[in-house]
Amino acid sequence: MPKTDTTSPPVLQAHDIHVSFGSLHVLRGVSFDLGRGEGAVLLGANGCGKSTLLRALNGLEKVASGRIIVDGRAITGAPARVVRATRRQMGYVFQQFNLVPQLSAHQNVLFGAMGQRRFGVLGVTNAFARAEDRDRAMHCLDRVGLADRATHRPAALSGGQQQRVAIARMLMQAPRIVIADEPIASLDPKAGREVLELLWRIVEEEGLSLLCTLHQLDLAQEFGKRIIGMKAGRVVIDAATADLPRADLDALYLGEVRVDASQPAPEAAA
Amino acid sequence: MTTSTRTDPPPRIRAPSALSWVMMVGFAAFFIQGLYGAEVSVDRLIRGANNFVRFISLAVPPDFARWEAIGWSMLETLNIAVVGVTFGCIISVPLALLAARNTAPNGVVRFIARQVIAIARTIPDLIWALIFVVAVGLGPLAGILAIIMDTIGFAARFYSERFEEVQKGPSEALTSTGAGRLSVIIGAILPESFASMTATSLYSVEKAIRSAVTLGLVGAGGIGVELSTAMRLFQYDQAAAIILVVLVAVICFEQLSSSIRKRII
Repeated sequence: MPKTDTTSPPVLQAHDIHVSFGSLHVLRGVSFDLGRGEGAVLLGANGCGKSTLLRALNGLEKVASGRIIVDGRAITGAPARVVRATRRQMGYVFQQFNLVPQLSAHQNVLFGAMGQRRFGVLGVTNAFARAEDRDRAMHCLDRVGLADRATHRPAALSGGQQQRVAIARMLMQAPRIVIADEPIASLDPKAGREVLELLWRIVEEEGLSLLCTLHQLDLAQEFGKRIIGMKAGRVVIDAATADLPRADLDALYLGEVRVDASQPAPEAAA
Repeated sequence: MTTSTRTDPPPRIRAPSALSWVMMVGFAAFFIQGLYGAEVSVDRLIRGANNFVRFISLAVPPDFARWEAIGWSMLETLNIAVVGVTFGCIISVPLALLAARNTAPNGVVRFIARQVIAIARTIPDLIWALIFVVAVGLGPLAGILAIIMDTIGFAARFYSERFEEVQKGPSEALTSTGAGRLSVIIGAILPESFASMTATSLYSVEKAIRSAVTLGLVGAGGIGVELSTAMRLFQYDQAAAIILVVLVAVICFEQLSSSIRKRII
């Protein structure tokens, strides 16, 4: 990993990003910076373009125009090799956990290092993986409190446990930036809070930068030091949590919030 | 929309469209012509029944005197089936990956792979056997090659359909770690498809045992050679013994494979 100068350039920069799905203009010029070690919460109603933004940051979604710069390297328009190298720096936690259901928790965690090993999947398959990788995967599971569930398949774990395995996989990847797309949206309130506390603790301990989408305003205010609010494909709030009145957050969910609502579609005149 | 106050129920029968009429008349004509072409008559049916009874009377009791030869050729048939299916399934995996929408590198490769699979499937196994008998001569090798082609047509198609059904999440998660396409396929898509692929492969073996029996009729090795000889020499009691052996072998393997399938899925 090339150690860039740590003066203070933002670790993640988005400049005027536009993304469209066919005629649907989803992201309409999104810009923000994420500082090193910063933990920001991204808020917005369903359908406002949050997930698309996060996917675009990782190169999973094609960007129509604008620039995404990760650790000083532009990934927009970059060759696939650069995009892959950048993805290694970026851990991703999904709402649906996205563990491989047929494989054990330990194997799923090992897969976190897949992008870093020379022979890809072969280097991180339990049978062939290096002893230190196997140990590190166990250590990652231990840090999320699931060392005793190493041989369990995801189906044998609760939702909260599955998300903790996914967090261990992210840890195994040893990224600098973590993107969490509604990590607790499919968990009950108690499990959700535990997972969120774990995620935030690990991010702080490792000195990572975090961009996390949430739907619970209380949790957003409690955990996020900074809140970025999106509405209909644009950033409308970007401020330190302490300076934000609650009414501003509530306003994110009022009026035209969806990217597909403001299109001239709902006039059903058939 | 104009609103009518009277709300009649929909008609009981919808009049078929012109195209449906053409199809129905065409089918009826074809069916009648086929029946006529087969020259079905009461007289022939009665004679046929007589011949069938005569065959049965000659076939019972089955003659197991040549049990050793029958046993060996049954073994050869099973060999042809198992070896052919094994190679067929191994070749099917990469072919299916090239043919599935979510794993194909590009549209052109996908189109070519799908055509190869379609050709392997549309040419019947007996025709493949005839072609390979010409190419490599009489014997089990021609049978093995025919089974390979037949298995590809079947297994590659079902594998690729399974790959296309795999949920996107895990693949995306591995992609987001910076892993390459091939790693993602092996790490997420293959494990998720494994159970269904095993079931398909077992079914391929069942299918291959049945076709390996008939392949012998065109000289591609196996118990079919014995069967066609016995029939041609009117030794119906030996033929009956061979048919019984085939029946037992097929049923045994079907039991075995269904119990394995139950255990995996």
